[in-house]
Amino acid sequence: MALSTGFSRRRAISLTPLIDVIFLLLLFFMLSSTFTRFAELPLQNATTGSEPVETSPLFLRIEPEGLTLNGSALTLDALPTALSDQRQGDEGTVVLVSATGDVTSQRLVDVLAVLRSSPWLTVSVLS
Amino acid sequence: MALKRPPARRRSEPMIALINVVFLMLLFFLIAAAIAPPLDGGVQLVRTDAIDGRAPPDAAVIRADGTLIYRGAEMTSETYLAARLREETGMPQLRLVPDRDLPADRLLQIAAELRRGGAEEVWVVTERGLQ
Repeated sequence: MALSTGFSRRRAISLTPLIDVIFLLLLFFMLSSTFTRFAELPLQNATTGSEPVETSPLFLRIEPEGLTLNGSALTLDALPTALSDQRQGDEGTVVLVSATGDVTSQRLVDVLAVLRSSPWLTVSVLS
Repeated sequence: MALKRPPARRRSEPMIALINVVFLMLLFFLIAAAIAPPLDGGVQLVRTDAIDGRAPPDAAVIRADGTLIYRGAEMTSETYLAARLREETGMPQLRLVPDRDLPADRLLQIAAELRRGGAEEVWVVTERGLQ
């Protein structure tokens, strides 16, 4: 049997299947991926019949245009200062958060994010 | 002066350049994006800045009118909880993605219903601003 040992110059590999595969991969990743960066924060409801607290809780009322901490009005920027004035020890200061009817989720989460920056607070949301 | 005419045969388009560009796009999407289950299209997420990021969630979306959407289907809080309980053992951690214009009352009401139904923790998932 004769083997052809001649000068068969190697032809270039056909690029079309390669492009097909890469293009399909590109489509897959373009359609299935997201660029949104997510964050999360816990939503702790007030539990009924929880353990007794030694310190008196703070009441934070969220309104569409302002906040009320223990009955005195303040803005969101002034909230961390006002909270650290009311600080009672290293942990266990309970903040009860309530929202009035017109408050959006954006507003609620804004306030919760500020409260989260004070780790000595125990936040519970009244529903 | 007589100009020499180039040969009329047209060369084929350079394939290498095309592959290069497509390959670079592929690399970009591989690195920069994260594969995630699609959330509901019409929802504008709550925007936050100072919270740590997390991976894209498999969570229920609450539209601005208060309807709960999970994996493309409209649900009540009971059926959502039942769907999660079927997949997870033990008390599930549930995640909610509210629209930013959703009344907070409705969000808290849904969270309270989930908690009464046996959810251990309820988390609110937001969109992190580019900082």
